[in-house]
Amino acid sequence: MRSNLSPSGMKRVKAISRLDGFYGEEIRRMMYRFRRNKLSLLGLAWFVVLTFVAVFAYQLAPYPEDASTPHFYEMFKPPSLEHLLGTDEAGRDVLSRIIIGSQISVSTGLLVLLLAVTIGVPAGLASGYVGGALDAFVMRVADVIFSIPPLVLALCVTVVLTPSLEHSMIAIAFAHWPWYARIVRGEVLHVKEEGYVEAARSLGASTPYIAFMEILPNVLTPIIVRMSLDLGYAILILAALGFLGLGARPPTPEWGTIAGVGRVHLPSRWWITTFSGLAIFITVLASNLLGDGLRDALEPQVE
Amino acid sequence: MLRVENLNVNFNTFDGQARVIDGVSLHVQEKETVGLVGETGCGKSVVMKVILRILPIPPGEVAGGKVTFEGKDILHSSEDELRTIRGRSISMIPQNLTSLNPTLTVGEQLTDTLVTRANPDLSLVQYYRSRSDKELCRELREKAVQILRDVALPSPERVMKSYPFELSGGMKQRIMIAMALSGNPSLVLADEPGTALDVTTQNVILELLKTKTREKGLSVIYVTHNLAVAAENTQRTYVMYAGQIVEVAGSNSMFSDPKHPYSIGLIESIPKLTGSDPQGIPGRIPSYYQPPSGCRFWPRCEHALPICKKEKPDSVKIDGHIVNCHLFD
Repeated sequence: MRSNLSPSGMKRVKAISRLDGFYGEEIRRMMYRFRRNKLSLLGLAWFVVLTFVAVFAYQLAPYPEDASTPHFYEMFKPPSLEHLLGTDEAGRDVLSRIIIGSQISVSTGLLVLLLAVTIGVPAGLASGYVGGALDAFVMRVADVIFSIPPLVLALCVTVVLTPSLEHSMIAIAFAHWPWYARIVRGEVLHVKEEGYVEAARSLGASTPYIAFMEILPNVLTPIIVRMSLDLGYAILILAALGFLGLGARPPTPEWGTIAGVGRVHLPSRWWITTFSGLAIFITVLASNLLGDGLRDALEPQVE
Repeated sequence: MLRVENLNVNFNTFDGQARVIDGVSLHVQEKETVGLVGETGCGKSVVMKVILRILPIPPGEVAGGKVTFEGKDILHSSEDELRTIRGRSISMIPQNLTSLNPTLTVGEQLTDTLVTRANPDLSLVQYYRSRSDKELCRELREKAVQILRDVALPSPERVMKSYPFELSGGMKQRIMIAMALSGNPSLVLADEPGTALDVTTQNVILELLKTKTREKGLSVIYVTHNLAVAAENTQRTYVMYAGQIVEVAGSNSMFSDPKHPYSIGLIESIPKLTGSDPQGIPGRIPSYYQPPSGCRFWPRCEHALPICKKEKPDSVKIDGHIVNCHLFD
């Protein structure tokens, strides 16, 4: 049989046909769709690097003690071989602070998402499956939260709770959970009409069992996609609150806080704000690219 | 054992009120197999869902009637009481093959069925704890394999680890039968078992269901659109048209000597090897929003009398059949 496939195409066909089960093939198909999008690979690569940097921050930072210790005789040094990204108003190495700050940004970003998901997903499940007054109540609360821009809402909540890193995390999760509730609710409305939900009911399964064991696994995909997109926004809003002085307090090497403190010294001492801002920018961009790629890979019908 | 009396079910939709079930009465006795026959859309499945109370309400609404099972009033039972009935006393074999969850393996679904059946009030936390109990899990798995073997599934250990899409339609149907029978119910509602399968597999499945239910001495309601299937598998048959029972008789007598014009039409529409082409019934099931006045079948009936349009026919007893038709008044 003549084949008009390219050599790499042939290799791929062989790789797929070597798999015994359909399931493996489906995963391969997802990987293939994900790999096809080169930009999303870049996004993934950035998060791999970022995670690595965050885990080994104190080993990688050239001046690990600079996270907290000031060196006043080295204030405002421009970028040089000694201090690649310069030093700040207390003579601390900006690169070291950004590297150590990655721990805060990544972990708080993930925690915010975790919090938003633990509130939003059960709320959406209950809303979609139980319906009625509960559904109306949850969705109206969500509508109210949607009507306020997330940054403004997070700002208000942080101010009310007294500004701190923990409170800004709570505030951002508060602004984000309705998205998950709404996504999950929409999917549940669709899935609950499936035969297996009716079958489970006819076998006497309880409502919590049906919600968490029968429905939840079938609505995971959009949650994962949304989380990968939201990770960047969570980090961005955290940084914004830090920048405005409502998030982490200044000695903490949080990216937004670094940028916020450095803002006073613009434009002559540009490196403090520029490089910390660049770290935020690249992370948010990477999260968007990753999310787009995941959506294409996991939900091909959206393309 | 099961008694449905004068059941009325409406669906309230944007287009108005659909009177889908109109005065259906039926009963099933201990160890009796009963057929419920009618064309697609006549309300057979709705009756089954009302018996288990799994009909979505709204849009559905039980407007009147009574369902009693072993003395219990099903329509006025609480959700907690119902959960002890569903799957344990009455279980349903669903008609479509999407009734297995695509994201869980067959083993997980079977063992979960067993766990929740052992304790209907299991909370989620207790459920997760039971899943991490190795001893319990092994016991459950062994029992699940036993259950699969019982319905003659080849290599049950492999099937346990499979996801539903890896199995054939016949295997899935077998698993659903196994699940429905695993709770030792006394009444099985078989909602067109095997309709989604090809005819040969369907025969095997029906045969399996027949031997299993006979072995355990269960009562069964077979829902089907094929009178021949009902004749072969059941003792008594109800023929249903547009939400009403039109005729009740012993299955053999129903098949060989139907009285109601609709039952006759159903028999004549079965293709035969010899003789003339099958004669269908002209027309379609009427709209439930504005059902025909009087007998719901008159627009399609070739023997329709003037009275048929005006009055709902009463039940008439003739040759052991109970017929709702003015022709026999």
